[in-house]
Amino acid sequence: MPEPALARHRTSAAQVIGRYPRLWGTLFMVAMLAAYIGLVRPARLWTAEHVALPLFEAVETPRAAQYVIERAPERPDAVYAIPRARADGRDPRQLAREGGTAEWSAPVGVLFVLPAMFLVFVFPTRPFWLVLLGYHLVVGAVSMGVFAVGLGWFEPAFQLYLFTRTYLTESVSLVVPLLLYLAAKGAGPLAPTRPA
Amino acid sequence: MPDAARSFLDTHRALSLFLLKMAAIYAAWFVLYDLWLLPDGRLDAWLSTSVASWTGAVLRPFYPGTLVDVRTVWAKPGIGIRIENGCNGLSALSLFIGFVVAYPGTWARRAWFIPMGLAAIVLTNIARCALLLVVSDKWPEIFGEVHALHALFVFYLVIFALWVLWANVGGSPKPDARPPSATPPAEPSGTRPVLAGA
Repeated sequence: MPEPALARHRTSAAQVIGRYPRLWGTLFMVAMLAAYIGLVRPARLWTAEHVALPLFEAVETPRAAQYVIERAPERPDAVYAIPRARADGRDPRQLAREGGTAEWSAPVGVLFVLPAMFLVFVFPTRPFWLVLLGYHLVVGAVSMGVFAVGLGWFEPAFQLYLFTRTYLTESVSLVVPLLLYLAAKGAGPLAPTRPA
Repeated sequence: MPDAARSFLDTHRALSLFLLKMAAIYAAWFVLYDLWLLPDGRLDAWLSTSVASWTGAVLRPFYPGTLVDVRTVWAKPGIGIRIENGCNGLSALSLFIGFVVAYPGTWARRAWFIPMGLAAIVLTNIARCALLLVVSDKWPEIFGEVHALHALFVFYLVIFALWVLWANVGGSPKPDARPPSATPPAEPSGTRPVLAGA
């Protein structure tokens, strides 16, 4: 049976990259950074302005009426839910630092691009970074819903959102590349054993 | 339990245990911090004032007029930074400790590795704060970008490097309990992974 054309191209591409993996890894890493700056960052701002902001403003419950939804010019990838009693025109970032103000930020930020650059450098022929991207997109979508629940109905959802976007995302973003790296090296107690 | 989940747990017992332990530790820390440490304020205040004080000490040879006012470090009049709770590195410290405790290793090695890692992260934060003050003085127009991006990059690089180090030096309390697992991802021959070679 003839080899499918796509598989043949994939194999030859892997061979070409395999000859100079560090060179290609570096090129992919630079391309990843460029794509992040040129595509992902504008997409994050668009998401905050055209998806998250209208969604949060559309939540109309007695609890949501206690909040003002705002964005900060200096932090355009974020949306803030400020308690109405505290909304005095000050910078929402400052209010968030003081506590009581919830901050939603668009997914696929630095916590994606840094591990993704590492992954394309170490595994230039493997699209592991797509797994990470998928994780960030799913968590981003879920976290938007969780934030909306916190805004409209259930205060602890803000805390769940915060946990998801901090420790959970931080640990997953760093642990996934680490485990893949260790698996490739066969190092560490969790590294898979090679068949004898 | 579905067969697929049971099969995964059987063949990746150590990995599953590690992930569950890590999630539990971070959840416990999050609750502890949110319910007690943050409202109490003393731990954050101590860490912030310490980082401010040490940053001042680092800067003084270069900026003789450096002043430290509780959480605020002034390199010169009008050039200062305030170490807020979110900037004192506490979350980075907990992120580091959570992994080291969850990832297999001996407690004897944890006893020296955790303090060493904490010191490395605190030193990183002091260097970051000092650098931010220099940027604020010399290139104030890029302060915001440096504050937002550089800090994260540096923190995560240091934490990642420490995690890799721990995975290699932590040892295993039960070396014979290593579970069989999937074949590791193959790379083209000649690929030698290099940590953060970029």
